[in-house]
Amino acid sequence: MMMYARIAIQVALLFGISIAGMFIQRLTHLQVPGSMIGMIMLFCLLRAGWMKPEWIREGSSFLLRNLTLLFVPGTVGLIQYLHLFEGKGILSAAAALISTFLVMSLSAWMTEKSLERKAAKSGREGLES
Amino acid sequence: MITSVLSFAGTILLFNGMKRVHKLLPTPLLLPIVTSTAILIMVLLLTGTAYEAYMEGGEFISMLLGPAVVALAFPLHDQWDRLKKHILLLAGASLAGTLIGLFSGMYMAILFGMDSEIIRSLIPKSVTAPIAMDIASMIHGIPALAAVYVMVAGISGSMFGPFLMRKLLIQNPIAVGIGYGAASHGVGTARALEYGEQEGAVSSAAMTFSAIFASLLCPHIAALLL
Repeated sequence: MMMYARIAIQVALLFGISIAGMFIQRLTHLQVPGSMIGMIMLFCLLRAGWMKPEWIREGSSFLLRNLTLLFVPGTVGLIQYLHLFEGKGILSAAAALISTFLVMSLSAWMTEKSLERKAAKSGREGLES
Repeated sequence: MITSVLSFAGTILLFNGMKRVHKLLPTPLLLPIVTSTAILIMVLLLTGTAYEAYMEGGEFISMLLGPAVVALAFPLHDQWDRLKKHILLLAGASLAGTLIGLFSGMYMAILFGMDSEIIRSLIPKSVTAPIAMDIASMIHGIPALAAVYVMVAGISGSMFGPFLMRKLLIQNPIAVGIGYGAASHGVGTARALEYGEQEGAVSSAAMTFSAIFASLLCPHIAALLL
C-alpha cells in the first residue's frame, strides 16, 4: 500500500512539472510542447542535483513501464478517420509506413557504422601507443 | 458515468489481457497496442458508441502521457554518463533521421497523388503526437489526422523494428535506441525500453532531438509544397 501511495505522489509531482511546462509554453509561444519542456526542465533539475532521483524513481518507472497503454485511447481515435483510408487514402498510410522504415533503418545503420569506425580507430590507437 | 468507468477499466483490463496473449505468442502482429486498439475500435463500431463517449473514460489514461514524457528525463539522467560521450552522434543521427522522415513522407505522398491537406498532416509523423499535432496546425494540415500518421509510424516501427535491426545486423544499444526514437517517437521508445535502460534512454534522447528539429524544420519544408 505504501508503495502505491509513493507512486501516486511521484506521478502527481511529474504531472505538476508537465503542467508547469505547458504554462511556460503558453507564455513563451515556443513551438515545443509543454511536456517536452517539462522533461528538459526535470532533466536539468536532476543534473543540477536540485531534484533527487529517489523523489521520482518509482513514479517514473511506473509510467514508463505502462507507456504503451497510455497511447491506446489516442490510437482508438483512428475511428474518426477510417473514411480517409478508404480507396486511395490507404496509400497515405503506406507512405507513412515506408518512410518510418527508411528513418529507422538509415538512422540506426548510420549510427552503428559510425560507432564501429570509432571503435576501430580507438582500437588501432590503443595498439600503436 | 457507466460508459466512462467501463471504457477506463475496460481499456486497462483489455491491454493487460493482450499483453498476456503477446507473451504466449510473441509475434509483432499481436503487439498489445495493435490488438487492443483493433478490438476497441471494433467494440465501438459494433455498439455504435461515439469516440467522445469512450474518451470520457479513456481521457484519464491519455492524461498520463504528459507526465510520462516528463518521466523520460529519469532514464536520460540515469544513463547520462554513458550518453554524453555520444551526444554529437545522437544529435547528428537524429537530425538525419528527421530530414529523411520529413522528405520521404512528403515526396511519397506527392508521388501517390494525395491531397495537400493529407500531405501536410503526414509530414510531421515521426515526432510524438502532441508535437506533431502542433506542427500540423502550423503548416495547415489536420492535427487529428497527423495524430493518426504518428500512430502508424509508432506502431509500424515497434512491430517491424526487431526485424529491421536483425536484418541490418544492428546490435549497438545506441544505434538501436536512435532507430526507435527517431522513427517511432514514444511508442518506439516504449519498445526500446524493452531492450534495456540504455536503449530506452537513447531513444528518448533521439525522440527529443527529433521533436526539436522537426518543429524548427517543418514550416520551411512545408513551404516547398506551394
